[in-house]
This record gives sequence, structure tokens and C-alpha cells, in this order.
Amino acid sequence: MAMTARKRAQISRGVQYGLLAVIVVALVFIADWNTLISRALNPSVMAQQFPEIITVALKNTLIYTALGFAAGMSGGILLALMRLSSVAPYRWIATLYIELFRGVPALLVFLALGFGVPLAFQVRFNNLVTVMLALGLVSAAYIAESLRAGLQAVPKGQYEAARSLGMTHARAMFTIIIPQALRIVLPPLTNEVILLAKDSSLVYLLGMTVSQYELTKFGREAISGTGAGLTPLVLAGVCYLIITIPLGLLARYFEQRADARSARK
Amino acid sequence: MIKSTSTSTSAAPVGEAHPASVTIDGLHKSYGSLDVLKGISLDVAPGEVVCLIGPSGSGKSTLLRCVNLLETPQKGVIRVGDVEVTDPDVDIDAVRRRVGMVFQQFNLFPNMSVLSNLTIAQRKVLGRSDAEAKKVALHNLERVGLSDKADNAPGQLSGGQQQRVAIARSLSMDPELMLFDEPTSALDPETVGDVLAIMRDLAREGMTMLVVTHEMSFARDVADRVAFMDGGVVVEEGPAQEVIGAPQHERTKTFLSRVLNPTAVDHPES
Repeated sequence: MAMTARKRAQISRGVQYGLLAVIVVALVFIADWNTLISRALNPSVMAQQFPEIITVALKNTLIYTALGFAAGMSGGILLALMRLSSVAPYRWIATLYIELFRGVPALLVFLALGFGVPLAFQVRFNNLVTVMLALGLVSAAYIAESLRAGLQAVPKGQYEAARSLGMTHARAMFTIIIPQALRIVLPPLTNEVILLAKDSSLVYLLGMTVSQYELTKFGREAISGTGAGLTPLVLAGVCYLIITIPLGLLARYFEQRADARSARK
Repeated sequence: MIKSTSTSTSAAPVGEAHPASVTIDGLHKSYGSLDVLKGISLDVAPGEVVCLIGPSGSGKSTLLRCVNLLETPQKGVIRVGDVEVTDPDVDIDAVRRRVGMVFQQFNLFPNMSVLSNLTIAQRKVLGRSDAEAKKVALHNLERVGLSDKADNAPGQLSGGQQQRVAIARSLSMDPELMLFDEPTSALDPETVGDVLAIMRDLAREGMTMLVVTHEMSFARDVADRVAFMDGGVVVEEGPAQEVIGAPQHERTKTFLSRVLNPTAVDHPES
């Protein structure tokens, strides 16, 4: 054979780089930059979004996400412990809950909570409570499954050591097992927060006042109000990234710190 | 089978712990249709060291794990001191507080420093103050020769060092009885000696010890008595020198000749 394996790999890699370059260049040339900038990246429209897109929309998205995560995490821990309970009915209830809320679109849960529950029970929650409940109910199902996997990934010997030292089941779980499980579930949990940040856009279904708008609703209102093209939504998209990218970096930092501290074998 | 008539559950004694006795009587344990323990009776006097030897699958570890109820026996009685462990109403956490357990895999908490490994149960279970727990922990780290590792993570230590930390962790609870489940089986050969030396010290200090081990020289030199188990029963039991030096039963002889002389040609019978 004329070519060595190494040589072939080099050529193959060169072709891949070349292909990528061709696609990028083609896209840059094909795009109608004038229209794109005026419709989607219009500087004057962008300027109109400030400061409310930060002080109202971004702030509300963060609040809704945080509330949803607080509720989801509490519910998720409870459900995960129920899934692993020795009491069979607890396991059934948790499994049923998880299958239900994991399988139903978040949109339906929002509609049920926003309209179904008030009709059925003659109660009307404050919007913030509904948001917290709706996001929490859905994310609890996902978080519970992540936590369960994490709890089961902690070696059994850790639990036995804790119990052998005289800790009760609850004490062993909360001081020994759950902290170790949290390290394991940090990556899927980060995913869950990012999903929550995006799912918080569904809050519009509940009917919001202007001061309650989050990023997506804020962007859509800006479009319909002014005929401003897509620019407000592009900006909203950037704001989501402002939340999610640092979150990813933060999670990676915590992971590395936990690994360095325990210097796992 | 003996049934306790009075409520024998009592609180752990305050202050310096006294070595406790262990009484095992007619113990049965099975997993489904698999009988692991078929009527074990064994007594350990306060301050006595008893080694459990025997082939794998003989039930040694299961017996040990029954003593602090990591396994629940179906039948029989276990007493630690004056507490009947097998009493359904026993406060198992109170029993475990008084019984130290050392595992084959150490089971140190990997996310905590060595010092925290030693203090956490003292604080959360015994309710000791941070300062007191730390004092006890450092004292016990010194006992196992690892004072300089207090701030290390368990993962930074060798296997032998981790096992010594695990022993110090148990000792920090001031146990009246120590259970060792093959404490040197997962160690590199060159670190085994350090761990055995510490167990030797403990025995000399008068700790009651029940040790599952494959270290025959340790059993012969340190144990007061040795029990040879096979197939879920105690086949032979007696002073260490006698059981290991001059075994009476055929099964004991076969086992010991294999363990003490592993390169010898195996006889197909036995």
C-alpha cells in the first residue's frame, strides 16, 4: 500500500476542515445581510428593549426558574426517597406521579393549574404561586429520577458504614448518602435548571401583567406592539444564553471542586 | 430458642466504654431457599479476641453482620453485653453506637476529610461538641499513627492507611465491641502488617473483638479462640493454637493445609 494509516488520517481530517470552511463561507455569502440585520439584529430596536428586558424580563425569568427549581428540588427529593422506600404504597405513588408528570407536556400542567384547579376547587392562587407549582410539579418528576439514579450509584457500603456508626436511616441519608448523590446528579440537575429556565416561558398561559413578563413574552409583546421584526426575540434568546451558559460553567466548577476535594481513586 | 422476658434494652454507658461480651445462640439466616447460617452458637467473653476462619461462602461475614443487624437473622438469639440484639423491640441504633464495624472495603466517606470522617458520627450520633469530637478524633488518629493525615481526603491515602482511618473512626465512638470483616483482604500485601499491628494493639488493650480473617498467623498469634466455619456451621472451635496448630476435623485440616500451603498440589477429594 502506498499510503500509511497515519497519512490517510491526515488527509481525512483535512477534507473535514475543508468541508466545514466551504459551508461557513457559503452561508455567509448566501445570507441577505441587509434584511437580516434590519429584521433580526436591528440596533435601534435593540436599544428600545433596554433597560426593561433586563430589569423586568430577565429578572422575572430568573425568579420563575429559581422558584420552580426550589419547588422541584423539594418535591424531587421527597419523590426519590419515596421511590426507594420500603413501604410499597409510597413507591407506587411516586412511580405514578413521575410517570404522569414526566409524560404530560408542561403546557398542559400550566393550563390545568391555571384554569382547571381554580374551577375544581374554587381557589385562585397568586400567579407566582401557580408558576412555582406548575414548574415545580413538572421538574420534580425529572429531578426525582435523576436523584434516584444518583442515590443508587452511591456504594452500599457507605450506607452500611453510616448505620454501623449508629446513624438512623434518615441521618445516614441526609448526612452521608445525599451529599454524595448530589455530586453524581450535578450534571443532570444542571440540565434540569436549564430546561426550567426555558419552560418558564410557558408562564404567559396564566395571563400576566406587564411587570410579570418574562423573556419570551416580553419579546413577543415587543414584536406585536411595534412590528419590530424578529430582533426582540433574538435578544431574548441571547438573554437565555446569559443565564444558561454561566450556569453550565458554574456546574463544571462545582464538579471539579468536588472531585479535587475527594481526590477519587 | 431463648426469648427475652424483660425489656433488656438499655442506654449505652456513659464515659469510658467497658468491653462487652457477645453471646450467639442457635442462629439461623437464609436468603430465600439458601441457608447461610444453620444454627450457630458462639460466645465471646469481654476482652476476648475470636477469629472466624473458613472458606468463602461459609457464612463468616454473614454471622459478623448479624451481630450489628446489618443482616437480620430469622432465628436465634444474639446478645451484646446485656442487650438482646435480636429482640424485635431493640433500639438498633443504640446497639450500633456501642459496636464498631470495620469493613473489607473501608467504606470511608470519600467526600469528607479524614478528620470529618472521624467526627461526623460523634457529633451527629453522640451529640459531642465540635471541639470534643475533634479531640477524640485526633487522639484516635494518633493511635493508628496517622495524625499527619487529618486534613487529607481518603482518596489520597493508601489502602492500608484508609483501613487504619476506618479503625480510628470506629474507635472514636468508644465501642464496647469491634467487628472486623476481612479487614486486610482488599489491601496490598505490604500494607497488611500496619493494619494487623493496630488490631494487635487493640487486642492487647482489652477490646472485645470478633474478626473474620484469612490471616492465619494473626489468628494464631492474637486470637484467644478461633472458630472454623464451613457450610453455615461452626465445625471446630477452640484455643487458637489448637485449632490452627492441631485441628481435629478433616474439613479444618483440609482448609488449613490449603491456606497455609497454597502452592501444594490439590487433592481432588476432601
